[in-house]
Amino acid sequence: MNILKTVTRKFRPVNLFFTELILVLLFFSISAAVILKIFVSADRRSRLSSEKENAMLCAQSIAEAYSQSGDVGKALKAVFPESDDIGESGGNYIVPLDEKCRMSTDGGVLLELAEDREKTASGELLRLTLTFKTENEELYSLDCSAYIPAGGADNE
Amino acid sequence: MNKKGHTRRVGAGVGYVSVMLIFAVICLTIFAVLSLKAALSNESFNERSGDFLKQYYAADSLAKETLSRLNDCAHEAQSSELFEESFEEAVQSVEGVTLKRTPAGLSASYSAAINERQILSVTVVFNNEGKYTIEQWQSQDVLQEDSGSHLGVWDGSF
Repeated sequence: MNILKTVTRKFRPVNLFFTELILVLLFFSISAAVILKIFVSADRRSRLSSEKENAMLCAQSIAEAYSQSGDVGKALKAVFPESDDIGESGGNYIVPLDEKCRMSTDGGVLLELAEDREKTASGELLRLTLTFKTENEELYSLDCSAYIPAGGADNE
Repeated sequence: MNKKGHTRRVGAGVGYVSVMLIFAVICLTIFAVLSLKAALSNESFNERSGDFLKQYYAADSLAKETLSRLNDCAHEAQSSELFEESFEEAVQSVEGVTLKRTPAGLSASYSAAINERQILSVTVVFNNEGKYTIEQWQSQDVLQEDSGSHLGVWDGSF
């Protein structure tokens, strides 16, 4: 009789409920870990994608301004009006940017511009390489060019 | 009297928590997969957009190189007395350029391939002084050039 009592006491619904709760919490914690990992991965990809998109828009603006003027300084001034002195050494420029491609020394993105000038019989053919870099990897790179005729053109 | 009334449990029963958990996990999984899918599709769109930008500026550079060569030809032809004839002769060395005489001067047309579906179409007019005016510098569909291969869509006229 005593044995039967202890057995029935052991399998009371309350005990079963707590056993289920523990199992459920265990399963939930494992599932939550996996799901959280997916969320973090999606967030990281989304941030990187957004940074890349900003870099592309910035690169396109600089490329268009450079195509018109053939002057890196003017192109940078057109895109970053707040830029007063941008570091230049031998045709290479370095511009520190933030994640939204605004000029900032605290940001994690670096824009490098390398210019190559080729003189032709009737003018100058200029090539510019724009490279957006983060600490670990290259975000985006674009090659563009400009042609400046020597005698001036009725360029419309 | 009523034996069933004695055995009825009050509050959450066994199994209720499991059902709630399954529902929560399914919801979270769906949201996680959807957000990952959105991020991936955004990434792929940006990738394609970035590739197109590179292709466009590569074609633009090529077109500018051709323009520089044409301007070199015009510069050379300027020294001779008959500008138009000398220019036409000099332009023959530049590949893919077609010349037309127009009232404004000599019109040079050429294109640079952006990708398999689009081209950068350029028309430049050189006047007798050897100066040029860019008449057209725009991207076009390859199909637009080939008028015979467009879809037969109703244009609204009977």
